[in-house]
Amino acid sequence: MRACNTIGKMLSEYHDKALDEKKTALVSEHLSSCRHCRETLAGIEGLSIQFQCAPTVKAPSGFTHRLHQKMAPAPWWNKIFTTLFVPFKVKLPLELATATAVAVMAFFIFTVQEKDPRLMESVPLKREPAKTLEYGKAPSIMERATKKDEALRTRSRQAKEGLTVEKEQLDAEKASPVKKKEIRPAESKPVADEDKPHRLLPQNTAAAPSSFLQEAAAPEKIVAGSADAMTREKPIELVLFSDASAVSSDTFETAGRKPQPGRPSSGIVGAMSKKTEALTQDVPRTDTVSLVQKAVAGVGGKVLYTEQNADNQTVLLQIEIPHSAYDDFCSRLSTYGVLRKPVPDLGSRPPGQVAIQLFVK
Amino acid sequence: MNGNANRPSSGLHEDETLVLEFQAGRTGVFDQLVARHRDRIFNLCYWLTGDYQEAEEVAQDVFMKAYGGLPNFQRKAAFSTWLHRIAVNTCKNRMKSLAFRFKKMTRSFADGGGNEDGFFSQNDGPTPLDALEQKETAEALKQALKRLAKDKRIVLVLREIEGLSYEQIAEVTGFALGTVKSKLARARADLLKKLKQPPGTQR
Repeated sequence: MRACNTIGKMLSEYHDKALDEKKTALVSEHLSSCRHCRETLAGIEGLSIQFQCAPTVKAPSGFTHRLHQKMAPAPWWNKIFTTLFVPFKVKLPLELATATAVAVMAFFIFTVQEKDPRLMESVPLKREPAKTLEYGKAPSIMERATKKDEALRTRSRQAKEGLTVEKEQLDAEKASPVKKKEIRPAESKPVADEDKPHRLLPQNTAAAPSSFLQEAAAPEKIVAGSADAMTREKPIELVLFSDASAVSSDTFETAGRKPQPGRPSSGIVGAMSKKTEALTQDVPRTDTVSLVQKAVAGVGGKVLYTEQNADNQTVLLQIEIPHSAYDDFCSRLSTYGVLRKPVPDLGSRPPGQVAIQLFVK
Repeated sequence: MNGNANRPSSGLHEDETLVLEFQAGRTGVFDQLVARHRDRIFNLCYWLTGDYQEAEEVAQDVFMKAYGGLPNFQRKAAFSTWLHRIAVNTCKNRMKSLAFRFKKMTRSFADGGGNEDGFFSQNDGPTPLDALEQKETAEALKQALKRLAKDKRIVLVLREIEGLSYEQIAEVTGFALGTVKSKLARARADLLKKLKQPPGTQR
């Protein structure tokens, strides 16, 4: 067996006739007596025969022509391109390259994916970024002056109308205290189309925005119809509870309805007109709105704008109250149990009317 | 042997003459050198890479490298040996490349390890049955060769396909003579084992 191991290593050379005479004689002698080594040699010879029978593969037609095309001088940019990517000619293991490619693909799939627009619709009160003026599209000085004049005229007209309306309200209050709450709704014009977001626009806010989302996105708001209408102040934002259970019972008696915690808090907002009130009889959310209106009337302010978001989840109220009555107003809302704290500070606002945006959620 | 093991000495002289003419500035004679050696180099590349298209690309690369290096060719070895060395090194680099391994992997996934280029049918035997048998034998041999280690495959192909002597193989591959002998013996033993095993049982 030991001889077989030694001879077996020489069989390949024996087959190729690469052994010297002495070794050749040794192998021949062993082969005559060892069947196993004879079979191994037969296998090697059979292998050679298989290789001999294998066809010779010739170069395909057009090989020289394609070679000439390949040897043609490359364009100048090809050399630059090749030079640029020389550092990237790194030999990576195939598994590592595959794993890297999969990781990069996964990163782009899960991070760059756009959000579902249906989800975007359900997000309440998504504020759009403030519009910025594009370069080269800024209005000229004359245009700005013209717009400013028009705005001044509009505001003065609206202020007069507002004063007229306030006078009518006072007269109506004197005539019949019971109809006190119905004065403001009488001024509003509810939207009949149910597909559109329901909102109530007083006459003195004819220039109100089409959607309070856009209004909320504006960084500054011109308070219309007030004594200091020219002051530009960002409205203070207060967030109120819409849960009727948080409100005390006497409050609801004042509002004219009992709380119904089990009912869904959705529906049309507004208690400013008989028609609207009829539509909103069973909506607890309006209780909060009514309480706000009561508090506003109590501190001598007024409701400028009311709108319910399309998703029936949020109500926006824009009110205006005297600067000195802000704390009183907040304490009233707090007493009613609808105010979410903390309450923002007035800061260094000038005396006069204060614009407030109330979000009833 | 399959290849031109014993080339006539006139061929060597003709190669030398053409190389001298090329080095003298007549680069047009390179086409004659290509015409003389393209089939052998292509055949070698085919058996080393195991892929027809890959063999064409590698063979073209070989001749491009030869064209670039011929002005500095010292004529210490025969032109054909020098060309074989370029071919072996180019094939080794190609087999190491990411693109080649990826192609090999995807092909083995696509056709379950069996790989037929279809060109064996060009070489018909005496009868269709013989041709079919020859084709099957060659295909089995090619698949078994592809499963061999790279160095063993190179040595075996140079010996069995190209018919080079041990000394020539050592010159082409850069291995020592004893290494060539031992690698060849092991390559034959491994190939016999792999031919007995069906493809796919051992990779």
